[in-house]
Amino acid sequence: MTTNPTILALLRDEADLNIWQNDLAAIPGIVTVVISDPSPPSVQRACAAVPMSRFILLSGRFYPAEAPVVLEVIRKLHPAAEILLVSPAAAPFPAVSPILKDGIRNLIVVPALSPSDEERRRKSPLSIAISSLADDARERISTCLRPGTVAREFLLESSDQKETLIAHLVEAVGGSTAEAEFLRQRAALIADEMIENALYGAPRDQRGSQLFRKGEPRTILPGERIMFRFGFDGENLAMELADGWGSLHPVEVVDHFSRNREREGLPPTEGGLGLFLIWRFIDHLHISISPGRETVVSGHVRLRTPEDLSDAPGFHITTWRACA
Amino acid sequence: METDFRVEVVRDGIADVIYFCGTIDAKAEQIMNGLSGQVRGPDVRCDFSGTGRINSMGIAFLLRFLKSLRDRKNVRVSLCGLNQMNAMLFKMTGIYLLATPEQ
Repeated sequence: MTTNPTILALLRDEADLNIWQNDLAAIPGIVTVVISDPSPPSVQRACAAVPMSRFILLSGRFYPAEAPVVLEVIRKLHPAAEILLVSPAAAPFPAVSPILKDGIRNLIVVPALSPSDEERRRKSPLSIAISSLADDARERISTCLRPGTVAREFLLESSDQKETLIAHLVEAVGGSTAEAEFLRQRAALIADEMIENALYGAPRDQRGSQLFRKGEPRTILPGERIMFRFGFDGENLAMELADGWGSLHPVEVVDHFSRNREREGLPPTEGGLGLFLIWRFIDHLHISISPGRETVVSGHVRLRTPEDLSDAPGFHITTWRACA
Repeated sequence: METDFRVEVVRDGIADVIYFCGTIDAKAEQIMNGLSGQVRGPDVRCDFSGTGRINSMGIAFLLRFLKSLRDRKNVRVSLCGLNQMNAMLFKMTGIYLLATPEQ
């Protein structure tokens, strides 16, 4: 029995194809079409290449000028498809507000892949991003792990549990190699920043002011829920932190990454680099935001040396309700 | 490695050697705020061999401390004992713009 492909990638030109071909080659069943002339008839022809797309990868190169035409045709022919805007990490990040206004819920900024790097191609950030949307959302951390890896859960009750939780995480990563030690150090910092963000950054009042000051001991409020999950499969450590606030905004996130990666001088001395540090040390960052309900920050760290860490890491942001 | 943060300042000739021990995070604020007053210079050597994790608030405190030393004339600050993680962190966050890592 043959299965129809359900993923369509729409690229702007041959240069775009050169950028994406290695990533797309790692996704089974994907059909790639280059739209050199983004007029309605050519977009219609491109969309007909996969009649029932579940996912459409749309190159950020269509933004801003050609996106309205392309999106109108996509929505007409593939009303149920999830559109994922893709952009390379080496380029300036796309402006997020127009994307959100156009109703696109997924922005994926993808780090460059080496054509010879089989392992990275097998687990390319783009295929991980698609898998995380295709799978049950509760199991999104398993996307990065070998099948059968058990995820552990911790429901935070107070800020005092941070060190205990990080100690459990570090203990779970065995091995005495330099790569294992580097993974433990990265994991500890990422978990620390995730927990601090959930405890002190996320809780805000109606005016958007923070409810708690970093460093002050606090207990979880009635009805508040902060859940940390992790799993280690011997090579990849996947982590996920969910808070019940949903106060992070995609524009804020991308501005934060952009500002800090381009900074040449000193950063502010009031703090606020937490999310930037998570992004720089994690191998694949996914931020899923349901405004007013929940923010889930997840990703994985893989055994590697410091020299192998990407200078231009990627990220994936999903927004589940209107954030424009 | 211990997680509770503490510092020790030892005078060695014309240098102050500062030993940073434990985790540097938001809980380190009080100690870090008082540190500049314990340093005489002109040489300051910051030893991180007893340091574990340094998070974003820890980086912010270190930036404040090192900026306060930079604002004093004729103070030279060096850094030593960094593990690979903290060395990368310092490079990413601009600490190396304020202090020189020892070879």
